[in-house]
Amino acid sequence: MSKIIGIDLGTSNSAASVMIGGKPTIIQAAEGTSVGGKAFPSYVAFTKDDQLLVGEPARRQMVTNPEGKDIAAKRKMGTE
Amino acid sequence: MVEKVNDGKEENSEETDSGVLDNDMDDNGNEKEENSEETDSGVLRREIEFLNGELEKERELSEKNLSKLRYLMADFDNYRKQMQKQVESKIEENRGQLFIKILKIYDDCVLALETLKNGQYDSTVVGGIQGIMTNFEGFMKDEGMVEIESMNTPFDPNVHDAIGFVTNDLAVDNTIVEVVRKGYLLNNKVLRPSSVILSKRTVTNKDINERDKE
Repeated sequence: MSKIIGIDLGTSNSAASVMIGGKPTIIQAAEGTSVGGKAFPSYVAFTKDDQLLVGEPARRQMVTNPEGKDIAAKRKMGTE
Repeated sequence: MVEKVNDGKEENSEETDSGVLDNDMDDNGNEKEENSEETDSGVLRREIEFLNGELEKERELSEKNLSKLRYLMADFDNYRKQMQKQVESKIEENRGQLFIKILKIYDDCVLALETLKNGQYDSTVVGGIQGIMTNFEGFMKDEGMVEIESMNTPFDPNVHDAIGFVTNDLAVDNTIVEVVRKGYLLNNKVLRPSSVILSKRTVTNKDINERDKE
């Protein structure tokens, strides 16, 4: 049976949840709880070897890869 | 159910046909029509009775299934609550066992502090504190905690957290040159990433020109 996920696309942190046993349950990131609790940082990054990173790993490498990262993507929605 | 009704219809129509045939054998025409109408109404009545019976059976089945579903839902809800209680109780038990292990090390720390407060600063105290550290490391190892090897290794965002960089032309780019805070794995899962400082090559005008060309 297909399930519907609810997404909270936050400026700093994002989260996704699904109904399990009649209750909304947050889907945890593979990295476990981060600075934002069960939510994960709203970061996306492309490394120099074309690897796509999302969430916590993308945040951790921000210092080393300022050109390849995109943070607070929500604020840029609708812009070119 | 539909098939049954259709079968019933077919049977009834056969009966009607045979009835009509029987009546055909009679000589009186009016009597034939009356008999035919009576047969039709009888067939319809039987069909309605049959359908009512079927409806009643389905209603009973539906009620039975609904009641079964309600019991199952109540059972499931009770089971979920029971499981939640069991999980909470297990977590409490594990926390208790963990704290008992930590308390042993804490007691040693208190003793060491008491000794230091009494003005003893000799090598035996240092040895004691080193012993406490060894005990603590042993405890972490027993619990499945492993230190993340970071120094002089290439940066990996899955286990390392880059907090800064230093320009160093001797080291390979993005190599860890300093560990500010050690990171740990708990059962092969990152419990805390290592906070590290990386090496960066000096960017020359030649590099910038090459990058612009790309």
